[in-house]
Amino acid sequence: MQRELSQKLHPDYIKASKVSSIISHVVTLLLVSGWLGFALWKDWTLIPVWIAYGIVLLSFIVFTWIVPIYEYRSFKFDVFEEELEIYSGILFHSNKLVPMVRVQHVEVGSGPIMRKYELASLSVVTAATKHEIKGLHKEDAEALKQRIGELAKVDEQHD
Amino acid sequence: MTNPRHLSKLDILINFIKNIRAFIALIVIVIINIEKLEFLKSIWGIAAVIALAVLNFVLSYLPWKKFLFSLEQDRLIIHRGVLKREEKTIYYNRIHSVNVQQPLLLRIFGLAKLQIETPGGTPGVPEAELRVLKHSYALTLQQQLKHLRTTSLAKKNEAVNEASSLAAMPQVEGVATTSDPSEQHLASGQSTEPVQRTEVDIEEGALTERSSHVGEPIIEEPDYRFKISAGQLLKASLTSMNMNVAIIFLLGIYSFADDVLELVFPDLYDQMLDVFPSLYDNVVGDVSQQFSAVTIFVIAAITAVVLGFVWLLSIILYLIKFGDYQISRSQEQLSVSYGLLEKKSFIFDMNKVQAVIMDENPLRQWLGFAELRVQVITSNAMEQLVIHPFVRKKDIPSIMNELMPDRPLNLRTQLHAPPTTSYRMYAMLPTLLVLAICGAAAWLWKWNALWFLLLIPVVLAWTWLCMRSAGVWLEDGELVLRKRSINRVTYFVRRKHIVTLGMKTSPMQRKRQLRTINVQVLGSVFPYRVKSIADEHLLPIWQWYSRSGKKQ
Repeated sequence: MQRELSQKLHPDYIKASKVSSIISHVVTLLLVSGWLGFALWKDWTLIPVWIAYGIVLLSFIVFTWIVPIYEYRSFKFDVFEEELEIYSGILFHSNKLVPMVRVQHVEVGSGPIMRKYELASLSVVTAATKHEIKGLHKEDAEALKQRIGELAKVDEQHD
Repeated sequence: MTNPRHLSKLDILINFIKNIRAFIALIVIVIINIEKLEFLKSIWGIAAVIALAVLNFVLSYLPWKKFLFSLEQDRLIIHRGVLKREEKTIYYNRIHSVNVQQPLLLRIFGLAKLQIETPGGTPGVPEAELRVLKHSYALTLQQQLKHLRTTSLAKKNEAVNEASSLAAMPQVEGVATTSDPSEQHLASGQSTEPVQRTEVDIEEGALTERSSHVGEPIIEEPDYRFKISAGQLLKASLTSMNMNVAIIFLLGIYSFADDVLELVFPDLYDQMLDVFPSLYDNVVGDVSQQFSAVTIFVIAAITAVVLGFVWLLSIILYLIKFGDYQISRSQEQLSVSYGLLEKKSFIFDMNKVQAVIMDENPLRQWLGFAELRVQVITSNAMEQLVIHPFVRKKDIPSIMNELMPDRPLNLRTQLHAPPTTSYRMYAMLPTLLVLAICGAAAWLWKWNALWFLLLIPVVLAWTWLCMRSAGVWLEDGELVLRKRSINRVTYFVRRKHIVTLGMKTSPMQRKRQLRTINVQVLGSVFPYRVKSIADEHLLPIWQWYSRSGKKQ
């Protein structure tokens, strides 16, 4: 909370999350258009459809051009010898402290869009919580997984 | 299997009854319509009933016959299943808790079931269940398993810790078991608490001797025992304010009764509807002005009667639930048991306690009483066990000293509270919600909805109380968090039991240098959270929890 956290996400994360936002919004747009067609056919009121279009447009702007950039800018984390600290959030800032002793396992995963940009997300799992660092470069994620794995193991024995 | 045992023979009877119970609806319908079923009165009908009874007996007998369990040197083995045979092995050192329960049916026959819980597995489902045992034998077995667990853990602590999966590993008799306890707990997602302080100092010879004499019950005199008195229990139930359970119970009874009435007297409601208008005419006559006043009075009276009944019911339910409450400690094992109809009993290790929780409902807070609970890891993640249903607050330190000697509680009334400027953060969301409700009500009912405005001062007062009750305190390696939803709840957490620490700020909080603290403890689904505490009080907590730069 008081110290500077040195690590950030990979810059390509902005592109990847833009692409995934565009895809999901196109899908929603198709669904709403289907609803529009159905409403025209059945002579339903069109007001909710226009509202839905408005919401989709607004969310498209927010989640494609604004959120990814600020998400990238705000997300910071650092791996210390005995703990992991994560700082995140655009409006609501959150600091989290996960001791290595509490880490159970680390997972690396990536979806099709993430893979295209050679990105991967890293999940640090404790007995009660799961902390995701999404949008690291594939190799960085792999290296970090190894590192946290080692640190978590080393600590386990003398605690 | 060295010395396999069956369940109590009464298991056959219990199975028999349970099978019948499964078809109770069908049987009731048949009995009601017995007049129309000529077939049943013929010789074939009687033969069919007898055949069904015999079939039921066979179906009850086989599960008993095929259920065998045996206590080996280092594990419990259970064989069961009629068509699909199953063998289950549970190593003593993996046992987390052993519970003895007495549902009503078993209680009638003086029986009990024994449930064994291990970390992992399906939440809420015990790893193994010995479904019907004599009550006295179940208690003996509970003690015995508890003892075997302690000795096998002690043995294991002496052995070299190897990181390998223990459960699947075949073991040579006489050789100490492998694997570190923390390792297993980690793997199963239940506990990261490596502390397993058991009697390591026992000599190995004594160990082997003890574990070979598993057949004999081990009776120990507890170091501390507390039994609730009738007067205390009555006071506890009077102040329990536990209406929700009673209301659900009432609704359940009501809907059930409704169905039964519908089935037995299909015309009942129609008849009642016929009766009421005439009653109504007689009482009220046709003076229309009296109508609203009388109805309101009637509704109020009915509400009062129902509420009174619910209150009474809640008292009775509380008495049934916590009646015969007792807790005892022998060395590091705590055992709790309570319940008049359904007897529940839990045994757990003192070191498995993740947090101590003090819960005061408004009435008890005013009277200076509280309920004490502990957060323990069991197969049910939501488990908070009551270790004292009704305790005078100033007695808590001495009682805790008896129950958990290495865990003194620091009961302060003055904590680091949120500053008055944080009231906005506490009141904002609930007030907006109430305003929305008022708006909706005004739209629906026009002027009549003005009554809803009364909710606003209520919400403002309630959120004020929530803020005044909140607070954090850090002393002697123990973090104290206090908050209120309706009851005032205080959490006492040790550093080693905190899984993650989180701090959050909203833009409004940042302006006033406030933060919300989230403390995640094992065994609890949601983090313990206190809203809007000043940064200056939270920074020391952050530093205390952070491990960087300082070794433990």
